[in-house]
Order: sequence, then structure tokens, then C-alpha cells
Amino acid sequence: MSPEPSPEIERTKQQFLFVVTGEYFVTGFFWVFSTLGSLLLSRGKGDPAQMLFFSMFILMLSNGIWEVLTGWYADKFKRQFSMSVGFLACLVGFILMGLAVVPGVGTDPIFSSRSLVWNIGISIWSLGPALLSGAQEAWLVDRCNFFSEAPPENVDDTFKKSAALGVIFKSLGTAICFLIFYWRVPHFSGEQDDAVVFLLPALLAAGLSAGLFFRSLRLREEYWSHPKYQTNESLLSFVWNAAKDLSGRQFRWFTLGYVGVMSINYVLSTTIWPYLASVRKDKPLLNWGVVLIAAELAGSVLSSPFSNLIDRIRQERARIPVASLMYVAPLLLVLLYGRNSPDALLYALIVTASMFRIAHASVFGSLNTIGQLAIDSDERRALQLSMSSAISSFVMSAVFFLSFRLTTHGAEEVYPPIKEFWSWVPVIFISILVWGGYRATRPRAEAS
Amino acid sequence: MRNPDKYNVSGFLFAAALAFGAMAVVNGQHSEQVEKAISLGALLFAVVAFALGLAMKVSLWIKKAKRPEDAQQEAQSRAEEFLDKINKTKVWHDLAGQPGDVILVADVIKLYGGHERQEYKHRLEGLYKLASACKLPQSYGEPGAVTLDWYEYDLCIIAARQDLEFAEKIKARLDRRGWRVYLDVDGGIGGQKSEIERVFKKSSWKCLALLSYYMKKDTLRKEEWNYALNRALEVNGACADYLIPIPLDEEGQRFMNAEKFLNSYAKGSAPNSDRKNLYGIIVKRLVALEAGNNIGGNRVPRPPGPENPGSSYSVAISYSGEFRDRVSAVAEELRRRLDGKKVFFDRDSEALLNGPDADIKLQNIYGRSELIAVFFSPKYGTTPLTALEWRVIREVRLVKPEKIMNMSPDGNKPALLGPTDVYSDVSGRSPTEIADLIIEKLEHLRR
Repeated sequence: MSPEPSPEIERTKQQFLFVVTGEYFVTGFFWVFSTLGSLLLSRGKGDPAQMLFFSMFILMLSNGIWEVLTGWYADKFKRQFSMSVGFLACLVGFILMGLAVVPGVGTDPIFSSRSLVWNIGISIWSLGPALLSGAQEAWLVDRCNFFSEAPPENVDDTFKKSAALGVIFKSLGTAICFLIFYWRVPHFSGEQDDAVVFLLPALLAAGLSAGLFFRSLRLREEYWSHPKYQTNESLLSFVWNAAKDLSGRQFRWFTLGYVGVMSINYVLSTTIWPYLASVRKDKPLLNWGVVLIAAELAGSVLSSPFSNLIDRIRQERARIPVASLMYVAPLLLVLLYGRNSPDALLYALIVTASMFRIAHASVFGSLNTIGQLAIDSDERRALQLSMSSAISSFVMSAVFFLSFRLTTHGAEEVYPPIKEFWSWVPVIFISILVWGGYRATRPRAEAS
Repeated sequence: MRNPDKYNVSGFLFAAALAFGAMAVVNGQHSEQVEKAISLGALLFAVVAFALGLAMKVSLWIKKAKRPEDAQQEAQSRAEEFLDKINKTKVWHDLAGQPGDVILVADVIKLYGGHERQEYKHRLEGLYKLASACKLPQSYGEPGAVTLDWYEYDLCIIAARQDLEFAEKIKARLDRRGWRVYLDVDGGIGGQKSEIERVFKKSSWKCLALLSYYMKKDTLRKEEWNYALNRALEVNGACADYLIPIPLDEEGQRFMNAEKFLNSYAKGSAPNSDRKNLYGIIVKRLVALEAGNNIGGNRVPRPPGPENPGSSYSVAISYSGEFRDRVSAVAEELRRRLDGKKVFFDRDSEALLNGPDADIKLQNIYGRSELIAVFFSPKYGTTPLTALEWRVIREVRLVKPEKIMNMSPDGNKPALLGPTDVYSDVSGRSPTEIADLIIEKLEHLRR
């Protein structure tokens, strides 16, 4: 019989779930807000897809660079502190994005005052996830290990739960933000862009970020008093050692899998909405939006039972590759039928969005546990995970930059580059995920 | 945090923000779409670099982190300023008269009254925040005049709840030799992080860690252990050899082996399951440390203890007027039986308490008593004198809870006690029987 879990461990896991689901909710809100807001701001001022790919390129590059610094920051200044600053960055970012309705100056799509405030808001916001990623997981693992009688404490279930709940809350955030936009801009092709469209979602999201900020201030880190966390290393030496750890046998495969899953996440989360809004501008956005949100929610709800099903596979090494098939199935639809027309692609993508969320908990949750177990140095836990995340961001920034160049060289329509983007890029990332996930899961005997 | 901003990362980020800003301005002047896009990207990088740099600066500002050498220097100058101040006081003058005396600064402060004592205590705690007691100046005034001992405790003991009985035995033995020993019987000093840090990292001379299977479970003591480990990393001069880790069982040994900071200790150690034998080894090892150190020398003021003449009373009695006659009879009986040893009973000591700063006097009396017998009644703690006594007793209880004996002369549960406090119902007992009970407890404490 397993011993009674410590109440502090249970409390830690609950606090982690609360903070992570809150972050997912805010992120869901952000993706719709940033993409639809970008389209509104650039309306009539150039190619929306070009604008979008450029914004995403900057966002990913910025995120990748700051991930390393923020990972170090979390390890040096306490993870709880990093989380608080992260939520504060989200709060400030949302407020700036909401303030983008100040009267525009000039017609330049890039340098009008509205675009500047908007993009600065997005950039500040991007610091949030960079500060949060790595810090949250490191806080959970280290605090549970501190209270555990026999560390390492099992946090596999918590990671899976957080991923499962996260996708539900992310879909809810998406739905709420979308409905606000739809309420004020029903056809998305009109001229209405009054203050409410920006301020209402911004204030809602900023309020939520403020709540999470204050909650994060109350998180405790008893383990931090151990000398191993009181590092005296310089930034360069600390990052260099983390990079060496990153290339360690077990952790490099985790990183590969992580790059795969995060990139699929970015591809499928970021670009469907502007596609919807720009390709289908002749039809009400609501019809498509509601269908997409319903598909996302359905996928999110099915995530947990799917995860349980995957757990029944006896061969641990086969779990991630099998779960990843969920990504492959709908993408086959995209490849087979989506190439014919924008409408067919849209239907295929809606199915993809749903399937993607079903698989998220069992793939992302399991991979997170593998990564945490592979980390040897507790004092660099946040940085190591952040570095894996940074690599994903750099890879994605390269993908977005290539797409940006595609749109600036000859392509008149949004459809062709986006079609290519969704056809081949996920296939490559799924292959990377399957390979990395399989290699990262060592058989038990070998691991012990 | 020992070196929070070694390479001034926030400065680097501010510089990067400036560089990106300049790049944004230069590229922004071109009309090409791609250059404008680059300009916008540079501007956004500048903003984020500035925001992150600011966050780091604010973090440092909030944590008020200092470089270790700066903190050490500040501690030295603040300590000298503090000594200059108390040097002018009568208390200090009376104490530091003999060359070769070792002044126990933390204990001297207890001799001051009212605001002065509060101020000095606050100053001392401020010094501990800057540097460990071992790094504070060890002499003052003319060369060869007095030696300073800044430690609050000679030994702090870390022991899991299940090992407390064993730890208490060690403590009692050392108490009798005049050691100032801190043993956390409540667990984590009520969760006060600053207190844990002060005792286990800053203000103790040595730290005895009793490592066992139970230690792994005792998370409150694990925090104490973490702070002690931090202090153990300071290996130079007076700060060296701080930690004395003792494995009590196989699990304790494993605990030591798993801790990379204990490699040198773990090599030569082996668990010893024979507690009686181990007790002797530990005490012998600790007593051996006395030679050449401040313990047992000309310590001023001398820490209290039964083997120490500095101890003023064997038993101090606190009560309210309702039971004056009965308690008086108990005091008489105690005096008769404790041949020559003093019993503090306020009716006889009225003259002693008369005058200002009665709380300080009580603190000295209770602090220097081996046992405090408290006779509770409904009115106890409500009159000015008993309220004062109870406040002082509570302070003593924080440091040495074992020397408080709770008694109920009317048989009712005393309202001032918590649910986990135990009391003796003495309603049906004669003064002789009550005195028996007190002496039994006293003997138990002395063992």
C-alpha cells in the first residue's frame, strides 16, 4: 500500500494546477486577441498574412531569446518570483494592447502609433510565457521533492491533469475572446473598431492576469533555502553548464520531442483564426468561429479519457508515438483534401484542431514528466526546460520567417503559403516528436 | 543570495535596449517594407530588453541583496558603531571591567531595560542579517582588553520530532555545563523563516544535526537543515567546522551520502544504533570543543545552568492572589526541602521587584530559574502583575519550554493554555504533595 500523500504535496499540486490553467486561459485569450486585433489594425493597410507571419516571427524570436535569460532568472531569483513577474508582464501587455485604440497617426501599416502600441504590448506580453515556462514546472517538482519522503515525487499525473485542464481553459479563453470580437465586429469586414473591441477583452484578460499575479505572490518555496539554489555562478557559466546538460543523453531526446510538440502547438494555435477571418471574409465569422470553438472544446473534454486510454498501453515507449497518431490522422485529411480549396482546408483544419487537443495531455503531460526526470541538477531545472522551449521558439521563428518571405515574394493570395504551411510543417514536427518521444522514454531497467 | 548581479545583467540589458533602439531609428528612416519591418523588430526587442532589465533591477531592489563583501564590510562598521554606543552605558562598564573577559554580547543585551533593550536587540538582529556571528569583530577597545562573543547560542540542535527525546538529553547535559543550547521542540520555530535563518545560519557557534529516517519526513526541520548547510559552506577562520552531522541510523547515513555538500563528513561516519553509547560519544565530542574556546572561560554574563553558579533560583513560582495561602505553603515546603537553594516567591521578594522595569527583573529571575511553577486560576493573567508574569513566562517558554510547569489549583483547565499544553490538577493535593511533584520535575530536568 502506498503511503498517504503529504498534505503539502497535495496543496502544491493544486496550486500548480490553478496557476497553469489560469495561464492557459490567458494564453487562449491572447492568441485570438492578438491575431484578430492584428487583422483589425492592419485592415486596408497591406497583406494580413504578411503582417501576421512577421508578427509571429518577431514574437517567436523574442520569446526564444528571452527564454534563456528568463530561465536563468527563475533559477537565480526564485521560481515564485519569476512567475509573479511573468503574470505582471501579461497584465502590462494586455493593457497596452487594449490602449492600441488611441487615435492612429499616419497610414503606415508598421509605424502608425496604433501598431506601435499594439506591437509593444505583444512584445511585453511575450515576456510572460517566457518567465512562466520552466519556472512553474521547476517549482512543482522541487517543492514536491522537498516534501516527499522518497524523492523524486511522482508528478506525472499532475502534468497530465494540467495539460488536460489547460486545453479546456485555453478553449474557454478563446471562446470568450472570440465572442467579444464577434459582438462588436460581426462581419469583420466593416469599419467598426471602436474602443470596446480592444478595451473590453484587454481589461478582462488584464484583470485575470492581476488575479494570477497576486495568487503567485503567495506561493512558497521552502526548498530554496538549500545551498544548491544559492548559486554563485556567472550567467555565462550557468548557461554553459545548462547547455552541456541539455546535450546529455536522456535530455537531448526529450528536447527533440519537446520541440516537436511545442511547434505543432504553435502552428495549430496561431494561424487558424486569421485564416478564418481573411479567407472567409465574405461569410459571417461567427459560423466558422463557433464551429471551430465547439471542435476545440470537444477535443479538450475528450483529452482526459484519451489520456487514460493511452496509459493502458503496457509498453511505455510506445505511448507517445501512439498518442501522436492523433496528430497524424487529421493532417492526412489536410494533405489529401485540403489542397483542393480553401473550404476543404478549413474543414480539415477544424478536425485537426479538435484532434490536436485530444492528444495534448497524453503527449505533452508525459513528455514533461520525462524531461523532469532527466534533469540532474535541481538548481538549473527552470533554465533547462526554458532552453528546450527556446529551441522550439527559434525553430518556429525560422518557419514564420520563411512564410513571411513567401508572402512577400509574389504570392497575392493568403491561401497558397498558408496551405503549404499547414501541409508540410506539422508533418515534419510530428516526425520529430515521435522520434524524440520514443528515444526519450528509456525502458525501466535501463533507467534504473 | 551571495552574488546577485555578478556581471550586471540588467546593465547589459539596458545597453542592449539602447542598441536596438538606435537600430530601430536608423532602419525606420528607410522606405523599404523589409527595412521598416526590421526597424519595428528592433524596437520591440529594445522594449523587451528594457522591461526585463527593469524587472531584474526591481528584483534586486526588493530583495535588498548585497554582494557578500559589501555586506561583511557593512556588518563590521555597524558592529563597531553598536559597540561604541553600548560602551558608554553603565551596564557595559560594569561588565567589561576585567581584561581577558569574554563578553557574550547577545546576553549582555538582555540586561538592559525597556527601549534600550529593544533597540539593541533590533540592532543585533540587523547584524545577523548582514553576516554570521563568526564574522563579527572579536575584540573591542585596547588590544588584549576584552574578547567579544556575538553568538546567541553555543549550539543549535536539529533533530526530527521522533528523535527529540535523545536530543533533549544532550541538551540537558550541555545546559549543565553552561552551554547556551537551542533545540527546536515546536518544529520550525512556528514557521518563522527569519528566526530559522537567524538561529541555524547566523547566530549559533556550532550545529549538531541528528540525521535519521524521520528527518526525511520532517519538512520543518529540513528547512533548519538547509540553513545550517548554507552556514557550513563558510569554511574559513572562526566560521570553520560549523556542522556536526551524526547519522542515527542507516537512513540517516543514506541522507548524508545523498547530500553532495556532506561528502567529507559522510566518508568517515557510520550509523550507531546504540543510543546510550552514541550519547556518550556526542557529549564527549562536544565537550572537547570547549577547550580553547569561549565556553567555560570568563564569560560575562555567565549563562545560567544547574552546574553554573549564575543560576539564581531552583524554582520560581507564579500565581494570582486567590490561592496565595496555599501557594505560600508550597513555597515554604520547597524552601525547607531544597536545602539552601533559593525559591522565588513574590511575597517574599516584594522589595526585589519594587521599582521600574519589573519586566526586566522578572525576565532575569525566570531566565535564571531552573523551573517555573505556574499556578493558574480564573484571574491569573488578568491583574497587572500576573499579566506581566505570564508575558515573561511565555517568552521563556519560547526558548526553554521544558522548564515551565503548569498547575491548576482549582482543577479547571487553565484558559491561557493551548490544546496541546499539559497541566497537573493539584486541587486535591496537599502542599507537601505539590512540592513533591515540583521536586520530581526538577530532578527530571537535572538528569
